[in-house]
Amino acid sequence: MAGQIKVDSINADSNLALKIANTAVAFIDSSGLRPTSGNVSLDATATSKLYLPSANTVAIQTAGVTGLSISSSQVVTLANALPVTSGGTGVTTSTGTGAVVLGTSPVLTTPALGTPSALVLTNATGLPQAGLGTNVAGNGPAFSAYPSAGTSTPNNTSTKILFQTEEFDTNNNFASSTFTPTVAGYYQINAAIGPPTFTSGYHFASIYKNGSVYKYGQLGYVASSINGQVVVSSLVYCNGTTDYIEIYWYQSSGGTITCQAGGGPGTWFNGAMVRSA
Amino acid sequence: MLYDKIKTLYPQLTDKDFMTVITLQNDSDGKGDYIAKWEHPTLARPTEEQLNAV
Repeated sequence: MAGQIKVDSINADSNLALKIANTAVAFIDSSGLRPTSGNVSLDATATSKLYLPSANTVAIQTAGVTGLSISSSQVVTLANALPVTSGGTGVTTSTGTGAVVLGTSPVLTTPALGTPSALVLTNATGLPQAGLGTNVAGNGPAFSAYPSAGTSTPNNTSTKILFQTEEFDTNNNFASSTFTPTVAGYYQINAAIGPPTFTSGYHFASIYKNGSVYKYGQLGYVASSINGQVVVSSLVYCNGTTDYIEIYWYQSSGGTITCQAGGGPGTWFNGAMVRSA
Repeated sequence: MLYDKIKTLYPQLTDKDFMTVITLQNDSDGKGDYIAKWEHPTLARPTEEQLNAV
């Protein structure tokens, strides 16, 4: 019969042996077609295809374990992730939906970062106030100083008060009785000057910015000798490079007065950044 | 003191003048007192020669 091979009998092993030039190349038994040696090859022409029944799956097994399978619905399944060294991603699980993100200039849409162990926010913007944790404060520069030796202030002469001793100076921005913050922002500046005794006349402290008066403090006229302080407090913008802050005292008692010194509460100068630029 | 010299030249100046139109200043840098501002409407700013002569 043309186009068919008719087998009348099989050998004692129930195999049908195929031979080419009297050399066995394959046999067929109850498990299917099995090559005796070499590879199973398909025709390399573009039209060659391997067809399977729709319900079947192509599977490659090693030692009885399926490493790769292709289902009839074209779903490829690997037993393990394709490693990076083999051109894969090494990814074994995924979350979310959408496109795969690559390493250079990726655009992430509403990513949930969870709790990263480290995160650098150098170029981050738009962090809302509500995004700050409870009890979180800024860590901008802050300082406090007092005079170890009192500054003598001539009558009717605004005189820079010297604060030689630092209580703290978190960013090393206080030197020579001058605060020169290296971080641009708005600074709450406070100072008090306590003479040993106020004698009659006007007394006030001033905040000087860049060598000129910026804000006057309370102007007080003292009719007779009393004890107390003159204070000044204001918010000051500093550009973080050239702007500097000093404290001056003016008095018109008619003579020279030396302000209190030492670590007591009488004379002091402090400040801190309260808002970035 | 610079204040005393100026008061000698212009005895009519008041404490109010030194809080408003005239500012004497000392930057505690060892350079002494100086006139930082002189905006008196009628009295001229004293020259160095006038101050040194007092």
